Amino acid sequence: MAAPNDSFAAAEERFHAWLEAGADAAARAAIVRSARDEDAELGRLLDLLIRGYTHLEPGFLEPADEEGLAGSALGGFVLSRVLARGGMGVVYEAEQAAPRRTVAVKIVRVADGRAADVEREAALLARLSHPNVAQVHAAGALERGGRVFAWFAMELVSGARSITRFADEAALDLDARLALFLDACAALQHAHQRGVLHLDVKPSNLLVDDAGTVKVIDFGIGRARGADDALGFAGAGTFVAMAPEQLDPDAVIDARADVHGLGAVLCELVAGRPLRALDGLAPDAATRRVRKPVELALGADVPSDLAAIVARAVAHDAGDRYAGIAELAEDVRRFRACEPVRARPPSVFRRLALFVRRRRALAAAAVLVALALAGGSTAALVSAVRARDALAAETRARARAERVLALHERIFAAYRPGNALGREVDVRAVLDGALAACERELAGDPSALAEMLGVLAATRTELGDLARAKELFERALELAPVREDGSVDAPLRSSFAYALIQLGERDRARSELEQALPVLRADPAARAELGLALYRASELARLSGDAVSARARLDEALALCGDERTVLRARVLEQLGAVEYRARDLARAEELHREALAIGGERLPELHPARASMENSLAGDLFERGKVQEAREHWERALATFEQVLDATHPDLATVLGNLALARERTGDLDGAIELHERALAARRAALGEAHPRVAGTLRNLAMACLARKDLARAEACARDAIAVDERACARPGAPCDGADLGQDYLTLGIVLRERRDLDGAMRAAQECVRQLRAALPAGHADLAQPLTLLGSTLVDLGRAAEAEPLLREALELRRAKLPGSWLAANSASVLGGALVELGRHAEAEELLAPAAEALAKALGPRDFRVRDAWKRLATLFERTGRTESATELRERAAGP
Amino acid sequence: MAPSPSPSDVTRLLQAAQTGTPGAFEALLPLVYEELRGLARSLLRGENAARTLEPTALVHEAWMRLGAQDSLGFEHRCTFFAAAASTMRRILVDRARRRAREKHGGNVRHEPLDDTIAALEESCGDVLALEVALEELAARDARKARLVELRFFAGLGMRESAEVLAISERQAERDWAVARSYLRERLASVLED
Repeated sequence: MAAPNDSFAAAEERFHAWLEAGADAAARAAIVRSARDEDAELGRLLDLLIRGYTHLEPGFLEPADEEGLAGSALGGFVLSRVLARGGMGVVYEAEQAAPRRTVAVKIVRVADGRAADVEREAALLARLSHPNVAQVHAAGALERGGRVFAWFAMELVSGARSITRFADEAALDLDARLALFLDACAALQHAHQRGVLHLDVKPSNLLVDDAGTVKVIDFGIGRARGADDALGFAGAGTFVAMAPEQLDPDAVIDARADVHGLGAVLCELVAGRPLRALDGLAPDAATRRVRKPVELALGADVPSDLAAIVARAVAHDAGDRYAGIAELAEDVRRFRACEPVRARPPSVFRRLALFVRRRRALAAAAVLVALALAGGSTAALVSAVRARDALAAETRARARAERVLALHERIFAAYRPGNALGREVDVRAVLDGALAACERELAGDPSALAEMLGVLAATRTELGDLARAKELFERALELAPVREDGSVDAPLRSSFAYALIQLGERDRARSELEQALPVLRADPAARAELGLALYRASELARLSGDAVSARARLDEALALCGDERTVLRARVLEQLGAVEYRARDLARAEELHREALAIGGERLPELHPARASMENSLAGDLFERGKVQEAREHWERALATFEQVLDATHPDLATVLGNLALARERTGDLDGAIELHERALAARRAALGEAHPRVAGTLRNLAMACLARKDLARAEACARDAIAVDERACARPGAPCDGADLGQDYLTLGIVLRERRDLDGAMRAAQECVRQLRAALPAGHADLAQPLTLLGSTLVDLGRAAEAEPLLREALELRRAKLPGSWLAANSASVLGGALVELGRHAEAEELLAPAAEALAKALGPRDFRVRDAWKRLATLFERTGRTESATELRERAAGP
Repeated sequence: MAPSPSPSDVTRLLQAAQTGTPGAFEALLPLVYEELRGLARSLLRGENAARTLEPTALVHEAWMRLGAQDSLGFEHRCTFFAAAASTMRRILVDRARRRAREKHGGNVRHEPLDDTIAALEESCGDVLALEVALEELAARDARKARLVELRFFAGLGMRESAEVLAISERQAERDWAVARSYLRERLASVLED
């Protein structure tokens, strides 16, 4: 079939937009004009469509009541109008006098001489009585013009929509969709128990009425079990949901055909797309598709247990499906209750995960445990199945699963409400108990113990207990079985790398990831794990300032995601944003972070730490772009989440505390800022120990907040503490810090000392800073500009302008190269101009000072201290060159409010 | 005149078209044509002769007859309706063209079939004008033209049309809104010309 041509497709799209906006005829002219401006043909077609629509007569081209039955009566039902029609018959709306009600009457043609079958079928249908079945009130046979019809008067479903459409319109979450689905299962199970198969189970036959109740319709065309070919419509059903055996005239059709139909509906409900993509296929091609086994692709967002349930229900061979609807419904119920489903072979960690999740009340953090456990389970299963002797491994895995599950039943039994006797159970206590029990009971099975330790370690990482996490990971790696290719469990290494990154042990993290990545790349079943590992590798690259490699990793991860709006995609976009942020493309960073948060908002629960992390990243861009208030709101939200789900020592919590403090500082709430910095500091110290560069970084922030609050003594103490911390950190082997961190500490100290009028101290600090940074950073790095400017201006204040000049010139060049046109570049120009004034090079100085002052005032406003300093320098120049009037005016302006 | 095809011929070809046998669908059209014509004539002879015969009703009747006699499955129904809709459209258009030529002094032999088809044509309005507009629509978007064919010439409901075209019902509704609006406007200008 030819695709619609471009202009027509575009016109169509806008036509639908116009319809959805309320089909306002008055808006036509404006809409058409703007379309015409883009493309004359588009404008013409859009005009035509909108005009046509507004001119439509009711019933134009629509099929009419060709049977002419409206107005006639069937068994006490007076037909009023056609509701729907199709090849299998016509549905009328009808009135019944007693009892007085409106019903639907379906009329279908049946084979000659089968009138008796109609009665039998009707009797069967009348036996169905279930709240989720559209009740059949009466049925009968009708002869017209020598032809036999069957008619069924049934409950009229008011406001009927298909189950999938209802779920979408009501924006139901997964659990609510499954509840609806179980109602449909109950209806069909009821029918099966009474010997009635449906055989055309599809979303449009599972209706939902105004009250949100499921009503299954069209049992009328299903054959009664044993009543072979009763109505001559055997095999009816739609291609999308149809079981393959329904195309085979010799096949025995039983309950499992309806199981297949329900599986197809479940697929559409949870994955948002039909089981088979038959769009645009001719009927013959569509039936060929039905005969081929379906390749299920539900998308990464459908939980794997649920995907397994769908796969089992729609299995090509009826023998591989659930034996009946009861079994299917039971598995869906188990999934909802977070119990292991039967559709999947048991896996230790998955079952454990379910077990933990079921006891959600333990603590909010238990959700994190469950997530970590669920993540580990896939890997466990894959590695088990991959073992050399697949069959034996499967048996072993099952045996182990049973053993470990039993173990965990015992562990968690202690925390059941009845046994816990009202004690508040902390998730860490649960983890400690689990560890002890694993060590005790799995001592003879090192590989099971290794997996268990890895899962517990990942959980500890998520909780921010990094030291314990590291310890557990190391033990797990020691115990993990070595595979044929010499590698040990790659997902384990990848999670370990994540903990190491958090700990600041980047070299070790890099080495773990380098070992994990090739193994994961070679394993098509490990896509999700590979995505995570790439994400972690990119974070590592970004932290090391290697934007190129960070981007490459992320692009690879993004390619794994395809077009799907998955959590992984959101996280990758977040990381890409972080790379752009670091490259100072803040607009792009904001865009990426907004997209990440949009997807995260759809896919993650409100209190998920990953979602809070996206809020945090977006806020960073906004803050840097001057949207401080908006940034503050995002940070407040992120903090609220982290406070609820993370340990008080979690690094992410500390990061957000620090960030929010900066926003508070910027909005004038200095006391509030200092309080948050102090909390962040405590969290960092508790998590990372005393000698860690991030502790020093938090100290620097605290120093700057104290400086802003004019608490200069404390500011100096904090800056000196930062230096001490970094000096100790750098002295450690494999130190997670370098001269760049130390340089930042000295810069802070220099700024504080200058403010304290300790010019000698400020100069020495600035010199040390420059020395450290020159050693640590590549030549021409923009971070050098600030200390050079500080050092230069301090030297000028000390009367050593000649020494200052080359330093200030270097600063100016760096800023002009990296940030041309910025106020930072203007500030450097002004400071250099001030030095030149001191050196008596007035003409050169004026060339710099005048435009710099103007640019600064424009960028920062007249009240900023840097603007006032620039005016003062210009005033000095005017005084020295005899322009006292202009100088006085500038001095007044500089002293202004 | 060829003898009326036996339903089993139609069944056989439907099954062949189903499995993708080349040319089966095309071979089906004349048989469906005969089926429809035969049915129309028997209906007109019968007790309902006074009633206006509508093309869509005819297509449904033909299917119910086939379905009931041969226990044909759903997949055949789709193929049948696709064929019947095209056939019905062709029947009506051919007949209208012939009549137009007659009116302009052409010398065309009067076919006995016309009597039955004349009864159909009455309920369809200006078939030729619709044909011009429908061809235009088909050039722009073939699927929408097929939808009109199924709805207007075979009288299929929205859900069933969607099934035949293997698209979602919602998509069919969107297509239908576009097709109707387009044809409404184009038909008006064709009729004015």
